[in-house]
Amino acid sequence: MSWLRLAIANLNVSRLTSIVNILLMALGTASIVALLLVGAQFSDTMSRDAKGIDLVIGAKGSPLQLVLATVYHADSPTGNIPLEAATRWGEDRRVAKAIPLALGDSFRGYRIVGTTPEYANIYDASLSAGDWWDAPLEAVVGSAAAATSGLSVGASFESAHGLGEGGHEHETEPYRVVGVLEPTGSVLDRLILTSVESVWLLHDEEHGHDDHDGEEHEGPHEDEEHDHDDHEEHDHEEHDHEDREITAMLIQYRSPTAAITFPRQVNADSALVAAAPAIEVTRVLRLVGAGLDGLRTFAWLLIVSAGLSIFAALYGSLRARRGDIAMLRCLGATRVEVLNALLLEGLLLTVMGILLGFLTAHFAVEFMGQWLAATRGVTITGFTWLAVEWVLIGGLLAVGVLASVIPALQAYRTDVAKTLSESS
Amino acid sequence: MHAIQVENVRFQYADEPGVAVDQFSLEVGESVAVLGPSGCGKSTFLHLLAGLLSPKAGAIRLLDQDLASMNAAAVDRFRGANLGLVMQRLHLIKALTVRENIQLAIKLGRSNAPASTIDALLERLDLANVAQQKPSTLSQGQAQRTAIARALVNSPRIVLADEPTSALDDANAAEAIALLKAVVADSGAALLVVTHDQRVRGALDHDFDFPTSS
Repeated sequence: MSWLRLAIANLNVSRLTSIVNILLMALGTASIVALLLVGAQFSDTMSRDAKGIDLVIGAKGSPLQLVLATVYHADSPTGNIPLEAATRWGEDRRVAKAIPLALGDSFRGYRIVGTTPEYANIYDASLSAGDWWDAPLEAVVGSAAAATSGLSVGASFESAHGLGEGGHEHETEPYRVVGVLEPTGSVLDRLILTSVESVWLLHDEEHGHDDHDGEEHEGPHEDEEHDHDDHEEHDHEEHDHEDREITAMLIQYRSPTAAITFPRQVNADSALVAAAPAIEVTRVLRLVGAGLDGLRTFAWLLIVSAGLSIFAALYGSLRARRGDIAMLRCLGATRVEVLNALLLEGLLLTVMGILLGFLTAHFAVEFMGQWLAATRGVTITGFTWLAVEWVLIGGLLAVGVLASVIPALQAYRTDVAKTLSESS
Repeated sequence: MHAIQVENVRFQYADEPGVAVDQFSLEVGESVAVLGPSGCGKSTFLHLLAGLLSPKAGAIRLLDQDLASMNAAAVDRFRGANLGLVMQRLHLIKALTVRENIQLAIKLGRSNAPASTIDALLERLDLANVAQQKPSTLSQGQAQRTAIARALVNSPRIVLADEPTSALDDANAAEAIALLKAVVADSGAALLVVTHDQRVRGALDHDFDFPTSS
């Protein structure tokens, strides 16, 4: 017979009340833990994907949309920009690295990005199989894209118009997979990389052979002001460097001081907009954070309710068990032991609620993460532990102690002789 | 050896009859019935002897130890180790089985009583077949025997019983007293029974008419 066994037995007497208290505590805990896990990983993912990119130069439009489209690959691009103009800014002495991006096509929902191997270097990516492309229409596939689509070195695939699933396929030469990337935990995992020339070639060929039936086309060689008939007048042989377009140019500064003047000068260019991912990420996190704060407040209210419920249950049971407590003292229990026994009952309810809440939250976030990975390409896992969760456990235990301390003190102060006289 | 020695003890609740006992003693191995009408203060006297109350004046020595010289926790521990209490309301812990109620007394008495002691008591008190049952399923007699087993499991030197026969018919009352006498005699403990039940008079070694205060 231990104090723990006695506490469990006492809680078992009012089983339904105990279960409701545990569930209340679990619900509040699970809500907070899930919000913490999702919030932290969302923030980490946003920061990680934007790491190493100081500025994005793209077509006039919303800077946030430009960043979402070219850094996170989660939105449509604002348009295309002349390669010549982008290159001119990329060759500025304040720029350490300039990486072109040409978007417009996809394969089974995975975006095909025309770029240089330098783009993969931003994320410290390395090849798990094959090699980098060295000819047009050769592609290197991100780890998640390869795993889900089944693409491996040597495989061929035909790209489709548009950045999501459902676009019609190019009736041209297929891409050939020459390499597969190691997982990076970044946006790169769900992209298919190729040379910018591949994207140009595909669209040039298509416009040479196809009248497109008036379908909207987002290829980076297009000028949005033009309609397709205008393009049909072009032959791809006629494209020279000056006519080429890309979707965006990712910029890495040589020195942080460039951030003071460089974006302003780019924005002065009527055709271009410069967007700093750090600023746009902060804006998004602020918006998301406000929502998370609201949900977190609600979750804490749930926990306070659980604490009050535990208090009410213990206090109520104490009134019915005063004689039992007096008998514990008759059998040799000290006041402190009786106090601890009541605290133990409250803590037991709290700990079981916390345990159930943490398990629920971690598994729920993991399941949600797997669903998001499969459907949205977002990497979130429930099988991780945040340092702040230790702090949360401390806070939740404190709620349990606070909920139990008044009933426990009542038990401590029990006048044994009087209680026995009253009940005799 | 004196099991209990009381000298000039005085105690008074504000609104109840007080306790005024000039001399009282009981040797180890002896039994006594403390008799008096309901409400005369004899239960309060038992609470004083058990260390649940402190006298306003006088001295109580149990097994030659003065309770007044101990701090509260030491009194609790002394009670658990040396006293066995059977109360009028039995207060068996309803969340625990018969066996667990007895085991609880071992834990709270900081005793090393082995499982065989419990088994022997359960056999002796005819409780073996209900050992795994909760108190709510027991008859009045079984519940009382469980309370007696709980009081005796640590082999206390003093057993204090408060109105153990008040709710029982003649046959059961006689059986309860006989049982208490027998098991206490086996262990060599002192037995003090506080009761208003005149059926107990003459059943134990001594009778002590509780002095009523004015």
